[in-house]
Amino acid sequence: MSLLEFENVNYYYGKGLSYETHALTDINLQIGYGEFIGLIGPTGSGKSTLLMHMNGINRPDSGRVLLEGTDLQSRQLDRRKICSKVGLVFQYPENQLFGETVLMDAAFGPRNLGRSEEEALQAARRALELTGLPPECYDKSPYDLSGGEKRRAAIAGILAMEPQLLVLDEPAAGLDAYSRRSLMDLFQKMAHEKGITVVLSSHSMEEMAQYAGRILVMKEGSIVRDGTPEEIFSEEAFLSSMGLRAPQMYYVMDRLRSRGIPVRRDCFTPQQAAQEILRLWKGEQS
Amino acid sequence: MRDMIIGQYYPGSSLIHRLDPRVKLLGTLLYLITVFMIHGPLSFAIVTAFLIAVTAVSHVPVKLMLKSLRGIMVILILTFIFSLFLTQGEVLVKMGPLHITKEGLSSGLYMLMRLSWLVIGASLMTLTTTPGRLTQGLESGLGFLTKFHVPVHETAMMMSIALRFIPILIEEETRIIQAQQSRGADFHTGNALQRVKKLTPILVPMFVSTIRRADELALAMDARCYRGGESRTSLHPLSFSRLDRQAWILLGIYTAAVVICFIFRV
Repeated sequence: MSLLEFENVNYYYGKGLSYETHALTDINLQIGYGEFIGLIGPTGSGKSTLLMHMNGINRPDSGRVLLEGTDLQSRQLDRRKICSKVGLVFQYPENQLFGETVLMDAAFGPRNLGRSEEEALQAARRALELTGLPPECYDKSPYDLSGGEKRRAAIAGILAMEPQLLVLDEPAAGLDAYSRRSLMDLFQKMAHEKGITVVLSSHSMEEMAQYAGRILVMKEGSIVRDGTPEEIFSEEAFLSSMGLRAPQMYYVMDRLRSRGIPVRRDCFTPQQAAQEILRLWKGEQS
Repeated sequence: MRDMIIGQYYPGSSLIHRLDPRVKLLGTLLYLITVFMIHGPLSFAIVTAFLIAVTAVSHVPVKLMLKSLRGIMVILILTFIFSLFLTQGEVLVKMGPLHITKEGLSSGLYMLMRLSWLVIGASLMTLTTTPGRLTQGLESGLGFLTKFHVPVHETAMMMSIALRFIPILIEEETRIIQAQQSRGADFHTGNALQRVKKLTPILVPMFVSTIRRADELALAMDARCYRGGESRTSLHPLSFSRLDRQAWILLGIYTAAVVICFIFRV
């Protein structure tokens, strides 16, 4: 059984009105345990809408979303149960911070799940530690933090509920390069060390190539491609027809080939590219 | 909050959408006055026919119009109950110390109708007019007040910003509610006091973001050297078309008809 499954999910905005839009069209999707899935697609392709279906916040107009075989809309699953399994981090989650202190805010989730005050604070502390937020921030007001720190504090609020499936809507948007890297490293660590399933959307193809094990491509409310980064990024023409592109390294290798250097094309991360160039260079020397 | 319709624009290109905002503003004002002049079946019929006709021409879905009533449901019900029980007259039904009178029933229904007609009519205007055009209409229609040192432009600007912010804030509120629900928040159980306390996770972020937005907007206006109304021109200047002149005539006939009915109390 897969962790989360979409069965013919359709969703409309403004149903029955003149500005009705078909936001999701016949989505069929299976998410297995321990996967690290990247979601890409142009703005307005339905990425956020899809992610918001993963914890039942958006109800499908037709079709079902199953969490370990149980329909998210069924009575057997109340909000708490879903929240304890699926953690959804919205876009710009720092806009939801409200606690008097960072620690209190991060403890909001676990407290809602029915944990005792003590347990909630402990879970909050653990989550904040994971995000790498310095401990002297814990007792500050969330509004006194910097942008990157706020983002970490907000993500900790979800991690504190210790979900099995972590869903993130552009978690790194608007952050500096260093914060982006360390956030993405955190999600990778969560996936590798704790076996947590991660689904995240991003506009950075480089990050996707680096971290994701599987990539979904969305276009106008449908999933048009589903595969490994190698499969997805080798279709450069298709991606650019949608206004997307392959990771930078693809173009570097492409340029090298057009200059007559026979490097392989399927190198999408700087590491892969460096290895490939090194391999060729060493081969020439010997 | 999601039931709030006033201040929300329903895109379209019907005759009503294309009318000059000044015609619609004065028309709405006249309509509101005529609703209060209903004193008999004939005037009721004329006003209702006018409302139905304008709604039909506007192409705004009736469902959406009726939605505007949901927001004032409590007021409607309370008004009805109060006039039902508190009006003196011929007793119809007795329930302990309370009694329903014939006059109470009729005045209750009458109040119900009057309030609903008012709200539907007013929301029809905001549904068919973008906030920008509305303010432009107000500003130009009330422009003569500038001579009496009334800051018409500034007031109109404030109004248009306030109107413009309503949908944005509703959207933001929805997102914050969903985000807090994703953290397991539950806004529907508990007694009144508990529920009010549970609003903190929504209210605090809302206040913060509203103030931040206002601040950013002020900066953006400053950065574009915004100065008040004096010698300011408009991208789409208002001018009356043939359609507007026809609308004036229809409005005049309608108002005259209701006034005559009012005089004769029919």
